[in-house]
Amino acid sequence: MKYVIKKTATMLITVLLVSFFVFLAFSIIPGDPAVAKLGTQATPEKVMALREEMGLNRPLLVRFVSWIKDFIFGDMGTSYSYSLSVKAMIADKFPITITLTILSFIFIMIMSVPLGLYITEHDGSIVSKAVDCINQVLMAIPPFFSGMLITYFFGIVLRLFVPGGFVSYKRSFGEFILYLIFPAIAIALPKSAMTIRMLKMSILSEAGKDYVRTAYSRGNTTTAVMYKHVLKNAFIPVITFLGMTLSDIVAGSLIVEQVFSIPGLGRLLVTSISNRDYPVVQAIIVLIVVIVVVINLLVDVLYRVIDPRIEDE
Amino acid sequence: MNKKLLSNKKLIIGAFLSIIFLIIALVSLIYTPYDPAAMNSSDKFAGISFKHIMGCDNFGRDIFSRVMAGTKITIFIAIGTNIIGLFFGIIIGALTGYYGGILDEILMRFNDAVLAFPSILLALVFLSAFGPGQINVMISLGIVFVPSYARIIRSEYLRIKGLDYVTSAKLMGARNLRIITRHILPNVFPVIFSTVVIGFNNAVLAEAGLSFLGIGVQPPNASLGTLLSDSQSFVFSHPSYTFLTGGFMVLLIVSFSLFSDGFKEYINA
Amino acid sequence: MLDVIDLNIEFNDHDMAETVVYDFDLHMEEGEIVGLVGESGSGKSMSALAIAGLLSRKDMTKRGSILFCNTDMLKAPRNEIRKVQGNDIAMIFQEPMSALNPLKKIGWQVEESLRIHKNLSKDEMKSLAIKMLEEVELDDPESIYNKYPHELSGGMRQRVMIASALICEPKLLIADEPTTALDVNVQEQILELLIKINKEKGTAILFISHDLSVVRKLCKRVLVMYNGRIVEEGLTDDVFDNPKEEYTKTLIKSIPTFTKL
Repeated sequence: MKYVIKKTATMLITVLLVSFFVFLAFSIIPGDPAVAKLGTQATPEKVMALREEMGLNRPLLVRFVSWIKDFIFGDMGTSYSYSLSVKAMIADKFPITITLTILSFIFIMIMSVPLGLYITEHDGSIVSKAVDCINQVLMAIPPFFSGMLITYFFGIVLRLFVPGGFVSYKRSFGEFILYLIFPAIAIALPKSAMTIRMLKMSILSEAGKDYVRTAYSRGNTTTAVMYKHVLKNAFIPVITFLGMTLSDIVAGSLIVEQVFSIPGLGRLLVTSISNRDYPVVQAIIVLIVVIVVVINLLVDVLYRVIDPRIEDE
Repeated sequence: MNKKLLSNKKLIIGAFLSIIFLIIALVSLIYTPYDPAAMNSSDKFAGISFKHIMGCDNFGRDIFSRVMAGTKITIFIAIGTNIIGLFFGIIIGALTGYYGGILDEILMRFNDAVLAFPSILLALVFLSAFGPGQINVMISLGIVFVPSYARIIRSEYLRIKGLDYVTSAKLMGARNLRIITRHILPNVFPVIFSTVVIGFNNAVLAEAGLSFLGIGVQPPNASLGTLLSDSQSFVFSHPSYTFLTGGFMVLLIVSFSLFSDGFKEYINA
Repeated sequence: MLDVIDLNIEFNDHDMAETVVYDFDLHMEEGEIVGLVGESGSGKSMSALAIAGLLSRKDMTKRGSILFCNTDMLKAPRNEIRKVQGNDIAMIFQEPMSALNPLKKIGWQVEESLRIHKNLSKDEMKSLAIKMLEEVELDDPESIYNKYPHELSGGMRQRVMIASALICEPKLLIADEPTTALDVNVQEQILELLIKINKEKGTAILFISHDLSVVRKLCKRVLVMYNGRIVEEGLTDDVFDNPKEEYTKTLIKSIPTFTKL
């Protein structure tokens, strides 16, 4: 119980802190949003009036508090550029980015766990060495480049999908997922390479521990030692890594959306940044902070479920 | 020791390739086959030839010259980023690790909060505040890198401050500042070194991501990330542009990570 | 019961081959306690691991034979060796802290050999495990059954290790420095427990230690190893009172507490 309270408090502080810094960063930006909104029609009087209307004349902290209060109650403000409710603008895109993130994560697991186990069991074999080499290269590929390569090979050469095509989840969820498969692979490839490497290192280091020898001394087969003893222990550091990866692929999705022309949060974020539409940018960033913090909490809980040693601390 | 060095293939290949990339970057300061910014409509999308070993882009600019200049900018940003990150990281890490206490508690809480956040998004926030451009990319990424460096250096200080030789320096009356800078700092360097190489790669990747989003390096300058992002529009018609620039960047990162892996193996062996 | 003849173990993983055990011979009868002493690196643990069938590293050459109840623990196929391990030969180790899997409950770990070798129901296994935890003199075995290793002290963990080793009632227990990592008073208790088990169940024990005082207390017969070779062998009292080899003499002298015991 004490743990839950402490963890929740840390979570809230993280969200508040990061939101405040984001808010601060956008407040010190040169350029007046009121001027930006009025454009060529800006006269000093009009600007003053609009500043008053937008609440820009109040002190920073007051503005932050009122903004975060509104945010909590679901009012994310109004877009400067489109005069639309930010909430309405985001609500549409949010499921797209989240689906892409989850799909990528599933691919990472599907690709890296079996392959990681295989190359560890056959450590030193040709296949294992080849996978190591390919991994070294994959890890160096930024997700947007893997996206471009996938577009080229699967979209243009093999014609497995239409580059730039997209079907909204509202029209057909199945087709929507189909279009997200290749972007998800683009995100998952470099991360899978890292996960495989991580898993192999972790298993090899666990395999040298004393309890493994004990397990052998009881007459376990090699397979049983691996699956009943080593694997669970080896997964503990990998879980931390996967938690970090998960928040990384949220960011990765934002970028890969650009490559595949997927109208998700990333696209909205980039257009909003270039339009200096800060209410939208702020809302998206804070939303992502919340997601990242929740992911961290889940990882922490999972940790506790797996490792009985943590409870005592 | 030499035998240990020579049998470490990763270190040798990695170091060799990394040096080549550094030389390319340095040479581009004084010489590129063509002016990287010079447009020539008659060479638009010229293919690979002895004249243009990587061909030309949509404005007829020599891609290889642009890649050379891009390597320079990419490496410049990556080094600058790491200098900023390392400078503040060492200060924060050394003070919190050495003194501990409430300052440590507060800074590390904050540190963890920032670390949990994807670095490229944080850089994106700073960049949209500062505005695009290579110096701003460097500063934004530099700030974003501070927490992870601070954490690593803090734990090294925590470990080393308990060692006997530090205690004896204290007993001999050395002042704290002297212990922090003269006694502990040199022993933190091996760890810093391999972290910096990884940090270098992360900076290259992050810069590429930011430039791809159009808020990184601005024309007429171009980093490897900008080139790759420029090439995206032509991946249908002229895929070699994408493959060559992207491949070049990947090779750069692979070289440095081989070097870093090899170095770690060398130290631990 | 156990006949080790001309055991040689050689490492090949460096550029030069290095022999760690030379011409090791050992004969053990059922119910016997034999001590194997020597300093670290003398090859005693290597020999013990070989007898338990736990040396499977590929970069190692092993010669000779280890006959245990008609199974050659050196040359038999892995599957046959496996049937002996945990069932007829069990082993306990020096570090009770790390020898147990940190993520599994004590009960699960104590029952593991039963699960592998016997065909029993869950309830039968549990009652056997609890009985075993009682026999190694752990208080409140029911609650220990559901605990994790980190919740127990070092001495308790070593008792758990002994319980898990003995659950299939093996003929031979190999104890590799089982008391070295423990406090002195806990050492005593564990030794007494081993003696009790030997008397009540007739389990033979091969006791490996660098501590002569402990060996003298426990074993009737002793082998002294030095640099991979057995340098002296005989009844414990004879060896201790009239050491023939120079090395044994220095070994006895180097233990200051010995005369007091």
